[in-house]
Amino acid sequence: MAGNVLVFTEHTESDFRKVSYEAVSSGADLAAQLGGTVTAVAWPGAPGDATQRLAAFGAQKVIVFEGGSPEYAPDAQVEAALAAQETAEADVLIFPATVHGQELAARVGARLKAAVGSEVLEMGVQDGQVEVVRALYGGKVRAKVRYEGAPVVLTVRPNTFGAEKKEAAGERVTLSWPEVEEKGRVVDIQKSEATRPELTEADVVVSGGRGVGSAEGFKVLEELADVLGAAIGASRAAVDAGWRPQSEQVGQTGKVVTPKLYIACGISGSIQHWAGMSGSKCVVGINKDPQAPIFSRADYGIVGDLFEVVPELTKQLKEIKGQS
Amino acid sequence: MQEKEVEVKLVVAVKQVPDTEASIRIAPGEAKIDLSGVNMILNPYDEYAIEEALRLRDAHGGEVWAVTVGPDAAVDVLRTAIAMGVNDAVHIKAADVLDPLATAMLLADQVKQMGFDLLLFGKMAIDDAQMMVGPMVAELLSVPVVTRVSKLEVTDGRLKAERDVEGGRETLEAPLPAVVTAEKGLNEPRYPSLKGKMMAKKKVIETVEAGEVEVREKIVGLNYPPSRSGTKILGEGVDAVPELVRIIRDELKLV
Ligand SMILES: Cc1cc2nc3c(=O)[nH]c(=O)nc-3n(C[C@H](O)[C@H](O)[C@H](O)COP(=O)(O)OP(=O)(O)OC[C@H]3O[C@@H](n4cnc5c(N)ncnc54)[C@H](O)[C@@H]3O)c2cc1C
Ligand SMILES: Nc1ncnc2c1ncn2[C@@H]1O[C@H](COP(=O)(O)O)[C@@H](O)[C@H]1O
Repeated sequence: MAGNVLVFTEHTESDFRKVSYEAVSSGADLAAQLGGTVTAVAWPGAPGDATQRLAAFGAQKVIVFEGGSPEYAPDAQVEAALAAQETAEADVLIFPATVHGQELAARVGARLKAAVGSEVLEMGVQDGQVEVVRALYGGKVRAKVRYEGAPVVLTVRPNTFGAEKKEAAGERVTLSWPEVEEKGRVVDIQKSEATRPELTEADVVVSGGRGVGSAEGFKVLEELADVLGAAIGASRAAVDAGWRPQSEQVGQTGKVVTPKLYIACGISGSIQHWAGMSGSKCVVGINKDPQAPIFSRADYGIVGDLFEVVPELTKQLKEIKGQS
Repeated sequence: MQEKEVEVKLVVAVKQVPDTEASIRIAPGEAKIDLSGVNMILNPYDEYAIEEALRLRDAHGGEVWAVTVGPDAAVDVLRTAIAMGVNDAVHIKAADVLDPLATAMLLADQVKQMGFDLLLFGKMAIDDAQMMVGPMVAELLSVPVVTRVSKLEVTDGRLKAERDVEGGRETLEAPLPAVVTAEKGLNEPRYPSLKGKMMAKKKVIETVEAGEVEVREKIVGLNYPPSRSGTKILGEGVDAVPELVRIIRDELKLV
């Protein structure tokens, strides 16, 4: 194994997604352990100074494409990714565990007949082989998984690896965009009003459950989210009741979130909900039932009516922000 | 029974997984999970895939097949699928330790022989949480794929699918044959009927032996996630708020 690592990025209109920097930075660490180089891939439409931005997080080389359009073109991306893999002579490919990144990782993995691991929590090298840590069974156990040989395709979840600054050369490598006729086509993209951070990327998540009682009840949570710059999450009970969209469900059949702070309001703390938020650094439960299971799993708890506690919390946080 | 013309052939890949409520034990001294006594269920996301296939069949006519790769006991999920209304099923018998590529290759070989218009998967198997097998099979078969679909229409040999992505919602179209993976919200899965359960019990399910596949992934260690130190109750009602504010400001440094 030559030990070269290839990291795929994802960008918005203005910048790379944070998880891209985390992937490049952790990919650089892995390459160092394997004794290889790390190359990053910027898709068409990435920021003009892509090479500098990715070099700042450790990319020794940055592959950019000539002739591609910024529009989503999954079939072309597969071919471009394979071309990038050949150019970089990569043994390990790392993708962001976004919807697009995860799908692309699987397709590229199949083409390369690769060993694959999604949403890894740690990456390292043992006896010259790539070894990762993954959560299994809804986070109930963690497995150390070793992959024999190469290639290996991995995905990384946002907020899991730190994005450390480490200057690298960022040598620009240009490839031409493959001529591929897409099997399908994108008919429509509806951008969500980005007033709040993406749930999976947020530093703070304010989440509500059946205890919130109604769609209108979430207003108090939104006000708290506004002061904290938080995303809104919901339990399955709140989603199934129609109070919140499916895209906000946290848990085993919803999203996995990894914020610094997760505030669970009116959520009992079922095992299936916990499967989605156990990766949070600090969990606070606000529940009027002192026996609620959330109080055996959270870091901090407040026993009380969320409609009293949450507005007071919002008010006091606003006061602090007003002072500073 | 009269031969009926098959309008659409829908195939659903289903997996047997431990119940979400089950406590998962690590076998002492081994990098293995002890699943003895654990209640096994049909992967929840696969229920959405089955339900969608049944609805498409009922709208367009045709047949729904279920297929699983797994040990002897995995045949149970095929019976559950049949009880829900799936017409027929195939069990690919294999050891229970496979990786996504190996599973995808076995499934791809099988469904290629069977033929299909639409091949449905769950978004994710909740045990290994890979989200890989569906799009891998699509790629092995060179057919279009849309993952994490929460709304689906099929008309005139094409599909139109919607999904949530970071920052918005996409609508995509693709010609059949194609692969989709089902996200929660796609539909509300039905419960098996009593009649369905009776039929499922009696059904003779075809078994095929899995071919040789290479598995390059190996679990070398297992442990329980670091336990949290227990919940510190900050107090009752609004009186507890100042302490939480202090934690958010001074310890977490979030304001
Ligand atoms: C296969 C499967 C998958 C699942 N996937 C998920 C998933 O992805 N995500 C998920 O969340 N669930 C999931 N569930 C459902 C899960 O089992 C629970 O039913 C669900 O999480 C309960 O939601 P809840 O905590 O909001 O509601 P409840 O359990 O009803 O809890 C409501 C809580 O609110 C408290 N409360 C009420 N009023 C107030 C108030 N005014 N102030 C403060 N507290 C109050 C109550 O004391 C109670 O503890 C799944 C279940 C299954 C079987
Ligand atoms: N052993 C299996 N047999 C049949 N289908 C499977 C198997 N493993 C995974 N799948 C399908 O692939 C989906 C995604 O699984 P995974 O990639 O393991 O998360 C599941 O929801 C199933 O539809």
